[in-house]
Amino acid sequence: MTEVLARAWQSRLVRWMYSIPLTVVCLVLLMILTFWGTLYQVENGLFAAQEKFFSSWFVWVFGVIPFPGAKFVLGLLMINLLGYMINILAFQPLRPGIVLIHSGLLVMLIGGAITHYYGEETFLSLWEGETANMSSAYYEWELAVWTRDGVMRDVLAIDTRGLEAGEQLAFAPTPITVDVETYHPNARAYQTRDGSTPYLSSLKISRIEAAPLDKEPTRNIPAGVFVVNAPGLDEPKRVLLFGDDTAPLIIPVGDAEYAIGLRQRRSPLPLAIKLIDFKKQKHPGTEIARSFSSLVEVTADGITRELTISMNKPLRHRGYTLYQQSYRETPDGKESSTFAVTHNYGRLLPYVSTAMVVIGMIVHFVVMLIKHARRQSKARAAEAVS
Amino acid sequence: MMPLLRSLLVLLCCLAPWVARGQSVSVDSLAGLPVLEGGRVMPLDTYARLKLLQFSGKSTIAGESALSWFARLAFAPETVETQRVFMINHPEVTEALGIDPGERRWFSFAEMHTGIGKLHEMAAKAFEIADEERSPVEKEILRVYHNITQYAELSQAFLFALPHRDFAVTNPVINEKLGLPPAEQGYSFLDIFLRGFRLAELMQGVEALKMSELDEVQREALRLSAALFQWSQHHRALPVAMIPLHGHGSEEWVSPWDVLALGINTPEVRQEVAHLQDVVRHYAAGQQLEFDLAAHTFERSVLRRAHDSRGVRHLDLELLYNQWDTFYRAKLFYGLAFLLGMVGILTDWKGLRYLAVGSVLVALLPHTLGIIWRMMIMGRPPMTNLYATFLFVAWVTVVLGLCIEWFQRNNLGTILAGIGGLIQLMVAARFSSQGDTLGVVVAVLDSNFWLATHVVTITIGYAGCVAAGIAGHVYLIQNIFRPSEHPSLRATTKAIYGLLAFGLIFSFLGTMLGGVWADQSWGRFWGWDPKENGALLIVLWCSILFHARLANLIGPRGMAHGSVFGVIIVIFAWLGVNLLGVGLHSYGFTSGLARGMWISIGFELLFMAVTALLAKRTPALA
Repeated sequence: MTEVLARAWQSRLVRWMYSIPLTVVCLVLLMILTFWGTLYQVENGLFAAQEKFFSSWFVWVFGVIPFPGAKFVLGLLMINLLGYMINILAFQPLRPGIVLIHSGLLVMLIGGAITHYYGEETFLSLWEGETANMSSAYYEWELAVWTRDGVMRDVLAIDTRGLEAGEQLAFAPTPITVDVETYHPNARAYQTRDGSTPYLSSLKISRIEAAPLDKEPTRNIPAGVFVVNAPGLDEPKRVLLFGDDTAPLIIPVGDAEYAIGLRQRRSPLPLAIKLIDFKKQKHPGTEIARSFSSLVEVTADGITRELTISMNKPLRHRGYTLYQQSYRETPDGKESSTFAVTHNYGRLLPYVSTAMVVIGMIVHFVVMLIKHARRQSKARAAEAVS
Repeated sequence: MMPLLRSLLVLLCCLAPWVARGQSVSVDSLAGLPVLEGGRVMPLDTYARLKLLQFSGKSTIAGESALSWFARLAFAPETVETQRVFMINHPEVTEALGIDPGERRWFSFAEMHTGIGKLHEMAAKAFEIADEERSPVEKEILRVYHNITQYAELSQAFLFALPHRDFAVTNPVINEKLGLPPAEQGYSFLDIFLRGFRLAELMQGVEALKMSELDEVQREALRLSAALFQWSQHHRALPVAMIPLHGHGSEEWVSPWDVLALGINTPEVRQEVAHLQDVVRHYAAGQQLEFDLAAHTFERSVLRRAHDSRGVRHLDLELLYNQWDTFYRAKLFYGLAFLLGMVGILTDWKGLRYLAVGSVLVALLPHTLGIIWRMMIMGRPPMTNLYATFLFVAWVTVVLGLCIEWFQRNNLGTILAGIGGLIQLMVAARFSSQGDTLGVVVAVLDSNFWLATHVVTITIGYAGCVAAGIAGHVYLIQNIFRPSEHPSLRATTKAIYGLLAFGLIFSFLGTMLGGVWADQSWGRFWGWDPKENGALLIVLWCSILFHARLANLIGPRGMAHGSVFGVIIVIFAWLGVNLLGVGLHSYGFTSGLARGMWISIGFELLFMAVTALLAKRTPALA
């Protein structure tokens, strides 16, 4: 059995899989992708470049010719590395530096994969005095229905990605069902001068129009016309929901009241955060920001504490990290602060891998130096003999 | 539009006739006066240099120092009117101004005077266009307009102190009532302004009378107060912010005109404005001793009041930094070291090697001193802008060159240090013409810890790759002209290896530290941001070279070509990414340097092609 495995391990194809030329091929491909993807950003923005080059298996050149995408190349590189590691550990004299460097790189690739598949990046905007325990996605939207009664809210939400006209959505256990009449991932909304509209709409929007998708996905504001139905309703309600509309629509059904809204996908946080004060400093006599920070009150696990989140000084709690991202201010002096919220299981892996690679490099360097010195002294000894 | 209209007003004011004056005195005593500009306090010497650089692209004008030119502009503007100080890069702009440019690129205020109305019109049009859609000519129009406006503003910055016919007092009664001392030259805005209360007393009851009913004293008082009002309306928000004000726990710096406009009555502040008037007057009168005395008194008073502000602590050091021009001295000796190294390698004369190493060391001294001074002045790690990265990378390249020389003792290291130091300091000098090289940093960079770790390591990585690239050039040239000298080729190969490995380690560490910084600040370790990608490209390229060599896909010559190509990648990562103008790192790029970047990339590609073609005829080293 071992012999079969060993022979298979030495077969041409498998050998190629862990060979250095394949490493070179992968690195060259990765370099081309990186360069190409960087140039692509100029015209199409970071998001599009990521989708096309760095989060894809293949990049389609002119729409037909496949070129390996970063996912493919990095996957191949991972196999190549893993094979190489097995090979040197099983069949070659131990070189601790090289082993450390390459296992560090392997950890980095694994960390990258975990972040890619399981990491989450959301944001949280608060006006001074406001409290929240949910963060919002940057560009994923949801159609949400919730009851209005009680302190606790039961929210039922459906992701709007790929939502199409004619679909029927049920929000069980509420009696609400929703028929999608139209849905645009990016839309412009219009009001009439007199505010009349055939729809239920809290902003009195009378018409929506599909707009081309923006290269910056956070700029896309969806809108849709939905027909809301429930057993207790006299007749189905045609509602118009627009992403910029922050107030939800209230629909009374029997004794209960339901709210419905089109909003950025929310994720619950393990803490409640209240913005007490937002502060910013500028370099004297200029408009160049020197630093900004938010004084917040955080309630988590029953404990409330006051702390400051600033640039380069985030708040960490149970795998969630809140960063000072940006701010807004109104002419009358109201300020709001926006935090980037990340949740990532693989967060520490790049740190581990960096340490492994750097230590590996140092070990390798020292080993090489010692070898070099030995060779030199041998050569000198040989010289002396001759 | 408002700023443009204001500018026009300022420009028109500038056309007013001057009271004749202008004697030259040495202005050294002004050099250390603190001025707030661009968010930091700097010596007036730096301020003057920046303004001259901004207008003319030069650091001296017709052999005159920037400070001396500035003093003439501020205290005796008519003496600089015909001096060609404005650099205009597009002949279309000069033609539009009605000037025949000929071969010239520099023009005087007097020449541009007549075309100001037209320039204003064109600037107003260009102003309406969004920045990214402006053509180079439109950008140039706005730049020139901005410069000429600033020039006009500077020429009026001390007008309050100069005698002007608007404030001529002919009636002795007024003289007496206002308590004006006798003055041959006439009186200035400030003279009358400071006696505003007494003037108001003279004016009592005047508003009820008709013009014909006014007596002579009242008439003159009315004329003076009308002039005061008009002047204070016209001279708002002018430079130079050189008087610190304290209050509510904050410090603000304002110009003397602001002090007058804001009606600040603190005795010290008023006294400082009066000292400035003395400075201007003694300058005009050519009284050196009195001028120096007034300048020192003003300086001492301001520094005493601003003693606790961080900005004023290193003014003397910055003056020294300006005066010594350490990087210029370093360049001279790097150039010399390179020449000596080249001659040494060609003639095999041992003595030259010592001279070359000595020359590198002599150059390294002011180079190091300059970097340390910059760090002390800014209170930051060596790199806060592109200019500073060149200084630092040049320094590391030189040190690497010295290390190579230490090990190999064959002049390779001195050549490497000489040419690496010289070229990079020359590029840095090009960057210094873009503005304040000691300027404040944006919020995202406001972290000394990360600046010190990430930026320093990544630029050390750049230096390793640049040094490897220079060694690559040497190898490829050796390979053509002395292909049979195997030991020397082998030594160069070793140097390439070592330098590339050095570059790889630091680029990798720097890239990862960048990731750590990003993770700490924004919550993402890697975001495929262009600058991250640039650094990644360097790491990838070095790894490719090592792996390809290991698998025997390339030989030593391939390594040498690869290391030269590495220079192109470093240039792309270092500057090209900023040129793209996207992402978190796209601060501080300067369009004029794009051409230089493309030329150097083109040169490297040509060099690679030529050496590849010629090297075919020579046997490669196994």
